Amino acid sequence: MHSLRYIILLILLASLLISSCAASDIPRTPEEIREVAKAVLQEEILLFMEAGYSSGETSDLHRNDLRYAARNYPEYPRRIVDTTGKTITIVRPLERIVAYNSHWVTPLNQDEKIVGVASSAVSEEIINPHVVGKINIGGGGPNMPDLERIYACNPDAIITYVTLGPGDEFFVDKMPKSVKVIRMDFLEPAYVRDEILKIGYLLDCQEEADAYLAWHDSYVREITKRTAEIPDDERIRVFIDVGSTGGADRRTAPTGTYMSTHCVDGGGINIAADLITGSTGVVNTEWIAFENPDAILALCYGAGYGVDDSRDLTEHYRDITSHQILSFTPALQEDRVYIISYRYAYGLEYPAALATIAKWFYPDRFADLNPQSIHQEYIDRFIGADYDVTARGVFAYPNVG
Amino acid sequence: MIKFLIQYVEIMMMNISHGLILLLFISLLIYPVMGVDGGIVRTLGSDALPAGGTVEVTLRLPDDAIIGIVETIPDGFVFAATTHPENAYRVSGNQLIFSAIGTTEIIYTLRAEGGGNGMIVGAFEDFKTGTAGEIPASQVTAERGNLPAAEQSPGSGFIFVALGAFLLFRKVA
Repeated sequence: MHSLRYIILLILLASLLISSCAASDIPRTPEEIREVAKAVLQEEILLFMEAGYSSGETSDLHRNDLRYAARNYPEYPRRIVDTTGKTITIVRPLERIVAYNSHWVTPLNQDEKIVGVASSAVSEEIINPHVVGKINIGGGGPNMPDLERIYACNPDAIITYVTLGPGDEFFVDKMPKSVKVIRMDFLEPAYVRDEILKIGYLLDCQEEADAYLAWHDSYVREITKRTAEIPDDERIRVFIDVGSTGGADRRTAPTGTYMSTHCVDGGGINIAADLITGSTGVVNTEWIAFENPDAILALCYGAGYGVDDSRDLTEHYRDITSHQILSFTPALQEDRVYIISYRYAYGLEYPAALATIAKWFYPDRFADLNPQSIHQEYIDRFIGADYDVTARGVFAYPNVG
Repeated sequence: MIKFLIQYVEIMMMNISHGLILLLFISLLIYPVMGVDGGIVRTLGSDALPAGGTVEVTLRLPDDAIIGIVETIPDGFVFAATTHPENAYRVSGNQLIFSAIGTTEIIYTLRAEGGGNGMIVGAFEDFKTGTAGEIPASQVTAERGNLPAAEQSPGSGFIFVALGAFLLFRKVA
């Protein structure tokens, strides 16, 4: 059962990667927004009239939706396809959003539109100024959000994850139809750009979205440009470790997962890229030893902004290096075992995490990169919190400066 | 018969009030049906068509309207064409569905097929004003027969125009 879920997740991620390549026609200018609004409104009026007066199928928008759309035309309606492939049409500005996924809120300066947030965001209030004064709907990690608190928010939209948290059976089935449930991750490097553009268009904050993407691109494109120039025979072979499943087995990350993208963008070769497609995601340490990786890149579900000791990361490091069978691999022989916090690798600060990985993999080629300074730039420009990444938080082990 | 008609027209031409009545009569022949509701006005180029003939139907709309319209056409007529944008209308059986955003006119053409007599009825929803209702029905008739439109005998409007031209010529001569 568990492996079946993993297979479905992999298929979903692969399809998301494919669809994200095509999703680049997001309206940017007022003219483009007007053009899309007209096309959507025309289409929806036809559907409504056909459904109401002829023998057509049920229309997506109701009479009141179309009246709102007409009043807000030509700025609305706005339409996107979210990361699950679902078409989302809004007919007026969204003003009461439950942000179960709130990575994007402060960087895009949308704090005022938020009424509810997950407790996982509240627990990192220090770096999430948007949570102040908002309803804590609970949830985060394995915990389910509190439905009653979501109702108390009286939301017009819920923005939640694709690959994390409850599914539609929770958010869609238990909410009034008027509440738009929008699924975006803001985590996966392969489609985070499209998600930022879409949310910028949907919430009418294109300038903020553009500012973030300009910063994002300045680092990600430079890093990937340099790693693309590395000859194949000079690329390091990497085992991605996503924790222990007990005994001699380790969980890993195949193609289509965030960590695999980080590894490849950082110039590494993911030795398990294709090995476990459609499988469990678990390999034995014997197999790892046989593959003889040059480095091990490990994701740790601990540490982050609100943590000041590195125990989570060092314990993960020791967990890997304690496997005797791996002690003969170049990764352990040359002390190339790298641990990164999920809170650093997954989120809009990930260009800094990518810089960290690239510098771990190729210290000479990326000697001029300073991941901590990229991270601090993100905090200062897009979060605005009084937070010094060199003095607080734990994000990577060993630290690369 | 023609002589009688000429005499009748001559008498009426001498009397202004009768002339106005005639003018009104002719205009009614050309624009027989006008419906007004919700600011929407339907006009037809003709209400009586030969078999295979076409009629242009114009719907005039309020300025800056955002409206949906369903026109139901009677048996014996089929939708032939429209100047409305392709993605802003649909044809579903004998119903024509239009969406209009900021346009003041929808023109479509019907073709008579097989003869028939009936009403064009319309319904509208104005999403900007929040009103909905019916566009008054317009009667339209199609003759039975198989002749193509170009070979049909001239309509009554043509006869009156020809008579007018003949009388004018006689007076000048």
